[in-house]
Amino acid sequence: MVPPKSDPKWVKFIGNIGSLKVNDLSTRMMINRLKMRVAFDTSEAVRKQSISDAYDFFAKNEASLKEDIKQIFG
Amino acid sequence: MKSMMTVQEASELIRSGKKLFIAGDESQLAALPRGEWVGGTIPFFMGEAGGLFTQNQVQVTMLPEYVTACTVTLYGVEDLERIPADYKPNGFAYVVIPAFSEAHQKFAQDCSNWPGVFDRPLIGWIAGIDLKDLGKTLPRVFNGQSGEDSTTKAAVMHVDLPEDKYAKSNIINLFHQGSGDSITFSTAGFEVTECMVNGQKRNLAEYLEEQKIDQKLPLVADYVGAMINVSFQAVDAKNGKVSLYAPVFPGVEYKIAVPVGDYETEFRKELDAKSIHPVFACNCVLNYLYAKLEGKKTGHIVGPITFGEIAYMLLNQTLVYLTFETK
Repeated sequence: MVPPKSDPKWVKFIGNIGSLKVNDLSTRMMINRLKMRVAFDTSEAVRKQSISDAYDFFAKNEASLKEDIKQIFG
Repeated sequence: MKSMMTVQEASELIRSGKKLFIAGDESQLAALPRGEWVGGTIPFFMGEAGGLFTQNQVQVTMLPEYVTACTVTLYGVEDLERIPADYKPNGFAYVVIPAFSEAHQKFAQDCSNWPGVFDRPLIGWIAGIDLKDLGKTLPRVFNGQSGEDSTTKAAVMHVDLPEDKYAKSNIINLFHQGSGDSITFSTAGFEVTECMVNGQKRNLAEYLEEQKIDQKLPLVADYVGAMINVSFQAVDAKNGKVSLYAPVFPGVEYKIAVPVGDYETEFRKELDAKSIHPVFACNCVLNYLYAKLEGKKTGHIVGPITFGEIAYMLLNQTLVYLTFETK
């Protein structure tokens, strides 16, 4: 299940974005994009936007990304 | 259904209302009637009997009857960013872009930044031509619904699926990062002069010459476990320039690939391990040329052999495929 945006798991998600293990190609591409974005701009605004983008991605694909969602959020 | 067919056979499928992806020579595609299809030029294919070159047949991918809707749109360079906004609610987007066009360049450099681009599978290929016609004619894409064609715009079929299904895109890339030097770039682009090798500033062309790198081996980046290739087009050692078939990006670490043994055998192993049955697949013309795939089978996989593969982004020397799964 995708945690709500306010869940601390999202802060952990962004903090660990360089070491996440996932299987789906779309998740890999999306995470790689966010990884590059937060590496270039460490501002809080970019972190929040990245969490928002990731939340939207997982929420829209909850049925097809069950394994990756479980892998990341437990 | 066999994938390779005559224009007449493809025309019958179109007239019967089938939803189709079609690849072939311009002369063949231009002869097809209007209907529910999208196409692009290419004369290289993975056919049922193996790799082949033909300008007298087209290759057809027929979508299942349960596909609920499809809309074909041509996007100009300035409109490309709208592609994700037009995704169908439960579908995928199939894109064909003419090689050498500004749309090709723009897509490759910017698509990862488009809002929502990863929200639905975005899969497709770069249209091409017979290699001996390079510089004489241009690759072209076709909107079967409207009857339009273009050498500058991207053709996209937005497809929707019933609620109990979803589309999934994936890749088979036989190349992996080698254990050699770490190569990074400070700017994005298809043309490269400077790079950093293990943190030291170098001219890439000089480095490749000095290390005697086999230019058939791509640069490989690790995108969270997905191996993403960037292939060498030309190395101009005299002027210190390297041309690439896809852009490199800053903040990404590249390494020269480990050589692949026998492509056909290694590909078969990958297929057996994955047990996939794609709705659509495409492979790279560089794999066709370097691995001498003419007449060789890529397992049961059929599809166009292209000037670039697309799975959310432009890829090189990679097989891209699309499957439909049940929720």
